[in-house]
Amino acid sequence: MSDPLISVKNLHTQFHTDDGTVRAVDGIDVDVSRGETVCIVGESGSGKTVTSESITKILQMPPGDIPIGEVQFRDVESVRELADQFPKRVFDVHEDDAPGTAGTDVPPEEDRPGDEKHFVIVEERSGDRISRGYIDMVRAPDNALRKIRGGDIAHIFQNPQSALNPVYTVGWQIVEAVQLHSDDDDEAARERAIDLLDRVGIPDAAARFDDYPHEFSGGMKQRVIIAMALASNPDVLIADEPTTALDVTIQAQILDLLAEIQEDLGMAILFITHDLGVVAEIADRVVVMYAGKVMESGEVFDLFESPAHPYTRALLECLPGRGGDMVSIGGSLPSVTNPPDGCRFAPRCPHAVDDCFTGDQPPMYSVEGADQEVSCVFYGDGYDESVVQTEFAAAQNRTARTDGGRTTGRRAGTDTDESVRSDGGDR
Amino acid sequence: MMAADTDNTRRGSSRFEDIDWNEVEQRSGSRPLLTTIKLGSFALFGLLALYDAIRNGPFAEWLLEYISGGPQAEYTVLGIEVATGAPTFDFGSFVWDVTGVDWLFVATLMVMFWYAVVPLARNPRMTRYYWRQFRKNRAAVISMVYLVVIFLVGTIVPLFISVPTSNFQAQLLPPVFTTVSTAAGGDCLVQVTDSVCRGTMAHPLGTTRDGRDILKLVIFGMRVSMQIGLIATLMNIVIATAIGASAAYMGGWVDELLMRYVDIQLTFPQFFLFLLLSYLFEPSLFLLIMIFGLFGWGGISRIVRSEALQRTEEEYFKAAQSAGASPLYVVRRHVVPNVSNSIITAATLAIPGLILAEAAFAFLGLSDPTIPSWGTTISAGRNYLGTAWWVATIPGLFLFFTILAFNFIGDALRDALDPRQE
Amino acid sequence: MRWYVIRRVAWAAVVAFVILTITFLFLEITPDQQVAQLQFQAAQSGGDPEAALDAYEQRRGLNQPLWDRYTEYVTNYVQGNWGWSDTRSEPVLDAIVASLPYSIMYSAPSIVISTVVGMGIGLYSALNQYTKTDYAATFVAFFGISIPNFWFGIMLLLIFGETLGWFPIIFQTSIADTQTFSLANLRQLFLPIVVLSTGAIAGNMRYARAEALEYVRAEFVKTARAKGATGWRMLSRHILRPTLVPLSTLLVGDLLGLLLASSLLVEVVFGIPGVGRLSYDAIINQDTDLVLGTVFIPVFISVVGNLLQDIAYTVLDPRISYGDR
Ligand code: SF4
Repeated sequence: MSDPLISVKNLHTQFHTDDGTVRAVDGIDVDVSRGETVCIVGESGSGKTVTSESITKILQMPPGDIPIGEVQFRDVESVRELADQFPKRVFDVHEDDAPGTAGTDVPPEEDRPGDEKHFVIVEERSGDRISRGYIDMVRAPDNALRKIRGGDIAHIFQNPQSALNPVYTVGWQIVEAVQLHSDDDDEAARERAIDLLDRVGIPDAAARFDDYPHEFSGGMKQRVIIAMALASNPDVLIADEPTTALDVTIQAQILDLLAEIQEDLGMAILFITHDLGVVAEIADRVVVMYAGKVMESGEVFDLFESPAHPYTRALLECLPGRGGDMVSIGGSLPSVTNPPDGCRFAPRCPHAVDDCFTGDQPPMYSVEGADQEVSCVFYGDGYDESVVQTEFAAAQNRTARTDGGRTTGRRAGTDTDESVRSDGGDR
Repeated sequence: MMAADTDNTRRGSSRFEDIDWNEVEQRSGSRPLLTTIKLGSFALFGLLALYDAIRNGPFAEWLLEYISGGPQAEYTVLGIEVATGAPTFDFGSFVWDVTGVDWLFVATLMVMFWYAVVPLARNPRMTRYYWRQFRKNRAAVISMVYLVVIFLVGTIVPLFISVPTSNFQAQLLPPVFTTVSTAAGGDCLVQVTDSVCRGTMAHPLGTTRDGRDILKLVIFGMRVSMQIGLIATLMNIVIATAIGASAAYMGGWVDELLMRYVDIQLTFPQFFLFLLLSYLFEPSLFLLIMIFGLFGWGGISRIVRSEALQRTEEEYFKAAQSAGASPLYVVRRHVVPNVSNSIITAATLAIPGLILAEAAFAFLGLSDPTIPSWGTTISAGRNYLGTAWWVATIPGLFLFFTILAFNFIGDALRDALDPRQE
Repeated sequence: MRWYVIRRVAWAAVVAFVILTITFLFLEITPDQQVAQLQFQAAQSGGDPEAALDAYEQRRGLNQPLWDRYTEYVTNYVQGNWGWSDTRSEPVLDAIVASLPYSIMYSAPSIVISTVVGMGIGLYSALNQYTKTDYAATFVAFFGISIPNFWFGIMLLLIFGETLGWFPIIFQTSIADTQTFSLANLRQLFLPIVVLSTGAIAGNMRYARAEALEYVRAEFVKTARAKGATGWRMLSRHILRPTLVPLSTLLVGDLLGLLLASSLLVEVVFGIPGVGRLSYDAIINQDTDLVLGTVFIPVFISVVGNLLQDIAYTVLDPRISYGDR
């Protein structure tokens, strides 16, 4: 099996604030392979945006900080290029200890190859040429990342209204993106920019080249941002809720455009959203995040057909047109500065047992007969997974009735008045 | 109140503005008594001021002249013997010669008492909340302590001491614990050796060229600074709020006219506006306060207007308006309380500018030379820097720290009260 | 765009006119101190105070009707006929022009230094928020805006002039006249430049920091970072450039007022015979025409500055709609 293009391994992203350290992302793994679309789903505050911004480290650091974890970017060309550019910071993995660390299992921090200064990790060479290796984005310095940002990994953002610099024309901003990653002269860059604008469906692109962002509508701005992201044919496009701020018809157009472009250019998309409808439409694989942890991940069809984790079940039951009662998950997100022991979802989970409240987040167990992994004790040894494979709403009612609120009363029953959809700024 | 409470803890200070102070007051039961006292105190004050104005103001002079046909005489009006000159309260060493500035200052202090101290004292929970917010900023707390000391010393002590006068037996004495060469030419109370002279506790901060005690000068300077800072700022706040709120509320040509005027007033550099006015009129502390108070409100009124414009978009405001509340009522009950945070912050940051301006004017000799202000003392010390460093240095330090303290507090208030800043 | 500029220019003219008018009214309602002085002098020297008054009014045209005086007053100012300075025995404008170079000598370097240094520190602080340097800079800025500049000047003279003797205490006009670009002139201008710059640097720094902070956190800066922009490009193109829009307001509005006011005090403290000193002397000597003239200079600088600022705003910020204001 070929290696994924991006592997996020045991990523921890924190923010140091006056009120303590916010552990926005608390040890997650996400893989994105070439050409596929991976969706990260979660509520506001689940850490999905922070995850996406940690990959190329475009979040503000400080106050942001990534103390533990690795983001591997496995693009051989970039590895070679950066290996030439930063020869002192290349680490060759010796054959005797190579196979384990490079595989799919999560290396604990101390097992990462090389030390802090090494960020170009070479795993195999054929002759002198590097044939397998990766760039550890977490350790990479800004002047190495600038080649990758926008060049290999591009971003588009949630709010097109504020993502464009108001004092420059859209043309200028796209030309900048083109010239940052090529040697094009102004004329060539301008032509390329107009092509791009045309490509993303801006009518009369050449005429609108010199317009300022405030002269475009929201949907058109998002197209401009996509054009900018495409400037140097990236391998990966990270799209952070690109349609949330737009109205429904425009949303569909933008999604279509992204799908079309993906097909043309064969790029991978990491799509961040809270909208399961969008996920169903575009995803190949899905990662469900909750309170900085991954609850469940898997192939989109398997996951939608047989959601394994109680949280995923709850989310899917929220979807309109899915039958069953509309469900509201009682309680709210756990504290991010001081997360509880055990399963993060336990305070709101109707199935929670004593084991759910101790130790760490349960490990990712594979689900039998499906391309799916889930972090729930019921999939471990000595548990019957069918217990949690019931309707979330029904389970909620049942526990409430039979227990008379004995256990759940403490956890889910008391604060049901607070809705899950507690909206606020993400992160 | 419960609802307000949870709101406060969750959403922070921005909710405080929504509390209806009058409502709080009404519910606490003792309203009639307090209001009576409040109104009574203002009424009493007004009567006293009126009495003083009639007895000493230009109107009185005109009246007396009219009755007698000549200004320099003593008269008996309605059986009361009237003499020109300010009323004097004289109880032993407590001599208070009440001037126009004093009347204004007392009025300002009364307003501060009834509209700041009393509400805070009657809502201890809110006071505690503000205090917790404020306490986070250590520099501001120290500044607060410093300013309270300056304020108390500056208002109370001058009532018991008299303005320092020339004393030609104690010229250019150095501050206590410091020494100076007798060659400098000052008098010497404690001779250390033939050529060295030491300061004494009799004049702990030393004396000026004409032997005036610098400590006393500094204390009187505190009073002048507090008077200028507080009175002129209060005047500014009142005018700025009235202008800004009505511009925002009425909109249309009223808004246009008022804001255009503010534009013009702000285009005229404030310092030179003050300079020109104080040149045209006979300079005095009273005039300076009036000039600063009547022409210094442009910036604050802009803030009030823009803040009020934002608030008028909000639901409760529209509700009040559509319920048929009168404009004055809506402005007073809904616009003004809601912009009070911005006003307080802006005013706190405006005070140091006014104090500095007064000091600068006094330094330039454009203020009343008989009133000892920090600026005048600095100016006096400027001419013999080489021989007596302390004369210019000491009042300057007080001035500097006072301005610094107001700036620190203003900054802390902005952090605590201004919802726009995180 | 052109229409907008025309309207702004027209408004500036209106402002100037209104200020002239208001000043005229103030002159009318306040007692003329020179009259009292003249009458006193006449009485002392055995003359007739009334005759002296008449002569004075005749000379100044005060016996004409109010309206005529007003129109004459306005036309005179517009035509550049700003009156006669009694103390300097020359036209007011000549006196101002003669003293202007001394003011420029120290204020021009101060403006440049305070803008560059102030903005530089402010931006650096914003980009390194919550670091020790940022805290230090913020704290120093508090001192800068709080220290009374005239007292600061005196203190510098006391320490570096009187005690250490590094800089001259008395400003020598002859050096400034004959060797404008010499070390000796720089030496005597050094302390005034420091004093004038300190407050302005602090003010600049605080504003630049606050404004830049808003842009450092802006979404579009994140976009730029995601494009691969770093370092200097990031700073200059994506943070500094948008920051210039609000900063242009500051530069003209607040900074100008501050500099004009401080320069008068600085000139008095250091004895520099510039416009500020001229103004001060005129006030002390009750030379009304000269007082008005020297006060109008900063007023007109401010009017023009505001105009330039509005126009700069439209050039710097494409979002501004010309229909506003
Ligand atoms: S059953 Fe336990 S482990 Fe599984 S989701 Fe619920 S709380 Fe978490």
